[in-house]
Amino acid sequence: MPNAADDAVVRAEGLTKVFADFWLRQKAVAVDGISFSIERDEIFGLLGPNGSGKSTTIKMILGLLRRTRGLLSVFGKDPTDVEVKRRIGYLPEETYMYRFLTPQETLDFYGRLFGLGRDVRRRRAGELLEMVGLSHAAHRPVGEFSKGMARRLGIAQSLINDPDLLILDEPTSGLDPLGTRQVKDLLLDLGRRGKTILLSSHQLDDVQDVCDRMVILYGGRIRSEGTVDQLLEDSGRTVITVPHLDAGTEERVRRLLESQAGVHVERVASPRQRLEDLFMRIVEAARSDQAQTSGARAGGPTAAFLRGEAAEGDGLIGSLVTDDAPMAAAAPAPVAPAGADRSVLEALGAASAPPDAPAPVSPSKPEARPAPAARPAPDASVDRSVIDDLLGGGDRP
Amino acid sequence: MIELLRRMHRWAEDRLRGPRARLVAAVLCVAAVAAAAWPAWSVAQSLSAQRSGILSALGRASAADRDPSAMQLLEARTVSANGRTYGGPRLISRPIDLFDEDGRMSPESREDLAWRLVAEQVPPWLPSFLARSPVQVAILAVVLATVLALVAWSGILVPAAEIGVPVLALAAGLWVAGFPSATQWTVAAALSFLLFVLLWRAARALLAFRSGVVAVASNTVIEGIRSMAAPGFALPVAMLLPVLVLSRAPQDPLYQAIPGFLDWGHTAVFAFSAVFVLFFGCATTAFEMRDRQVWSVVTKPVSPAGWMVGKWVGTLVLGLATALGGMILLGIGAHVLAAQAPLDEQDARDVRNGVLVARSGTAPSYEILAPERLREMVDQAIEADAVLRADLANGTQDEAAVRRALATERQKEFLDQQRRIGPGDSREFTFAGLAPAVRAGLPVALRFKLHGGGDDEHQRFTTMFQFTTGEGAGAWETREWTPGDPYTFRIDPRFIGDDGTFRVRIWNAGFDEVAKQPVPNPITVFIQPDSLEVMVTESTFERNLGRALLVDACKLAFLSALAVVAGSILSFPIAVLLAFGVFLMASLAPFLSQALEHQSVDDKLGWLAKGFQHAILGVATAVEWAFRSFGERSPSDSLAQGRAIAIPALVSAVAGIGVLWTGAVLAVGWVAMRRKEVAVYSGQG
Repeated sequence: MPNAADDAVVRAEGLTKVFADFWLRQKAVAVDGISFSIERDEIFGLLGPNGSGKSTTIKMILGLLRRTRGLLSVFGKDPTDVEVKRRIGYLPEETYMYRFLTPQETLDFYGRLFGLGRDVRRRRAGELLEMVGLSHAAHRPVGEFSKGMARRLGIAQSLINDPDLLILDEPTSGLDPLGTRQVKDLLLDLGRRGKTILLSSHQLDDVQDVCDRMVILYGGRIRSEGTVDQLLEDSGRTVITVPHLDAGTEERVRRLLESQAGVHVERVASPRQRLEDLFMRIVEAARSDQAQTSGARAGGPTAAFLRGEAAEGDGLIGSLVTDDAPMAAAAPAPVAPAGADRSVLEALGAASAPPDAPAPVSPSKPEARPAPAARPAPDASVDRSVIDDLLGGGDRP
Repeated sequence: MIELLRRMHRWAEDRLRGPRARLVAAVLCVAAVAAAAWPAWSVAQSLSAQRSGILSALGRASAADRDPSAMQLLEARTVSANGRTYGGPRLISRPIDLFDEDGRMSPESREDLAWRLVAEQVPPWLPSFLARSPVQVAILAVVLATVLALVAWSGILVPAAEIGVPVLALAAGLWVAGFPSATQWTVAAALSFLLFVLLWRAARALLAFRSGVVAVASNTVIEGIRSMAAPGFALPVAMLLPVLVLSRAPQDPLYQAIPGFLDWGHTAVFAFSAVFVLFFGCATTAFEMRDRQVWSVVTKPVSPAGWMVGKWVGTLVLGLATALGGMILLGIGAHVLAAQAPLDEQDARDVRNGVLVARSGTAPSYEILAPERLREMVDQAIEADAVLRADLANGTQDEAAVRRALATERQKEFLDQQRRIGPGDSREFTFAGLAPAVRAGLPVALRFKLHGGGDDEHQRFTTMFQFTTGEGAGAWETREWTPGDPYTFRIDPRFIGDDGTFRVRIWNAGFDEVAKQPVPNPITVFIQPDSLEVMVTESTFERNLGRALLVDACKLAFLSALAVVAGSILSFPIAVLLAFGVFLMASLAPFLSQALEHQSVDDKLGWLAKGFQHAILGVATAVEWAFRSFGERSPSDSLAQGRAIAIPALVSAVAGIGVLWTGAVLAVGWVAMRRKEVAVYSGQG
């Protein structure tokens, strides 16, 4: 058993899981000798195609499955230790709720499992339902819910105990872009407040936006591991974002680079905003026009008990997750006024950063973490060769 | 329309959700009952005061003394009390009949007359039995107010009203249409079901702790209610028991109607409770495993074994609620039947002595053959049978086994002879050990069930009982009986000797009062081993009902543990098969025991067939041995026969079935769940 005083929240060494049939013959090696650790306060991503061993790994961490070989510890203890589970929140891939309970009763039930008092349960349930936008349906049976509503409830139940380790298996599954953005913002908020998060997802953009580190599994083995920057940064290319250039200026810049720096310009194109950002803007506009919707409503701020005591920077984060602005304020794609400042271009050789060029706003991470790469507007600028190779040249997310 | 009703339901539920709203609703219900009861109480109180005045005036009435009250009654057919005059020719047609030979009025006559004089003031909306007594009005109002307040406080006022209003409308319609029995049944069934609803609410309140296991139990109770499983099994009980009470024909003796109601009623209550815990216990665990809700629980600080125990507790609580509700209804139904008019004085006496009591029985002592005499008879039997002698000589049969069988047979025959009374004959039976009961002043009765004449239920015979001990030695008692039916009559303690011995000589004959001579019955009477006993009342019917509930609770604990463990480990169909299979084996074990007495391996068959028979007998014997105590402990017979469930039997049931069997099953489940992987392989290949 690894040292209990180790700072790692989860540590796996040579972790292996072999499934056998009724006659104890080996049926499948789901996880094959993987080793990784999830440090405190980190958002850790678990990626891989179907059958790569992600869910099996998570189930072993939760004690739902027993490991065949290797070492696995959670908070320095065996995963099957009941007391360890007091500090864990879990959202399964499918939301397995009791259809005959209401959301209020569901959260109350799970709160009782954690030994929370009645007043605490009531308060937290109210805050969580407000946060996930289910207050209006607090007394409706879960059996009447849509998949998205059930998913939101699943998120709420994973947070009822204010967990130190949050394990989320496909958290945005079944959610619309609004809900997806809110979940991502929530995860960043929780991460900033000292929660350790293990995230498993097929939505690669979601993982990329929020994770600090990730491992990529295939065939039960780790194929790649590292921070987002380490895995995705393509040090062989440079992207410079400037306001709009007319054709002549563009041609001069090209010739300047070729003649001065001996660099062949591979591609010049206008950046594209992300579909998610466009969607958010449209919805925000509709919301400000108070258009009616019969579906899930916008969520509220992060539950007070999850926020803990007010900390510096709350204002900024809070403004990103308030009712009026449930999504991070997605700035529109930078549109430079006609007639760019040429002095900027002329100073290319001095490699000075354009001070006034607004960077696209993305859900920012706390300063303590390595700043993620500026959200890439054109997909082509991101080297996805690692992921594409593993997926056999699969579709882009 | 349905959507409108649903919205109204939600609106009402939302309004009554908080504790303050429920408190207000409870207070309003109490106020409504008080407001409705006030006019009834006022009328009853006024009538009671008037009756008191009339009784006071009639108390001095004496026709012999030519008292003014008596003379007014005889001449004017009226009575004056408190400045008011009652009566008249219409109400008092023959005043002379009210006085006895001494010219005085008996208390019963005065009471009857006083009521008749005020009865016409009773408004049509007030039942007579309430108008007679303001105390009864108050008691009924308190009970109704308490029930409604509980209904309101427990948050079921809306569903109670949604069910209650249509039911009351239906009952009113049936009453107006002239179907009083159907009206009574409708109201009784609705109130019975309400009892179950209150018990479920109480169960949820009891499971309000924040422990993980208790939370799982509470959730299971909610599931049982909202999935309509518990209501589905409670509703037939609520409907059936009132039918059994109301179906008594006026010509049926109460002495048979009440035991029949208790027997059938308890059997039905236990059957529904048992089938419910088996079915629901398997379903709640197996489906939760299959649909993976269990993952959301065991990833919290609750182990898989703890989850299983929580499921067991929840299932058992629901089963106990059904059993408890059924027992309460059984008790109420039995008292309702007992309050009905008996067929005759004999019926009334038999009801007082034989039903709604809890007695322990003492069987008569019989002689047994002395060992020397028995050996002599066995020797004679062997000597008389040449074939048997030859088999023993050449070793074909084992001599020890043959001697044992012959001795058993001879002993049984000797006993049977002592339980047989030929036509016109008599036999004396001795009962010992009754001194403590006599000293304690406990009621003592003789219970008998005679067989003969092919046990034709249409036949009726007469038997004489001659008491031969105690101060009352020589007294006689005559009883009519139908073959196979049990009867009981009280025994005067004077008939019991100082040493606690009671002897009675039973004559297989009636007595012709005219000819003053015995009339032999044309049949030989047989008395089974359990058909003749002296019964001592050692407890009350209600306490016995409680003991029966405890025995049932132990069985339900075992059955629910069996179902929950099976459902946790196996799939639903297999779990149901296993659980119901064990239940049937356990219930039929007493019949299996009787069948095994007559079973043996046929020595004439080949070795394969004999081996097969040995295997079958072995399995049957093992099953009978394992489950004998489950089937034997059936409180139905005890309740129907007014027989007390003895404390030792109770302790044995609790320790054996309730603790040992249940604990063993839960232990197996605990071990299995600790080793079981809750999740499954969900990958490729």
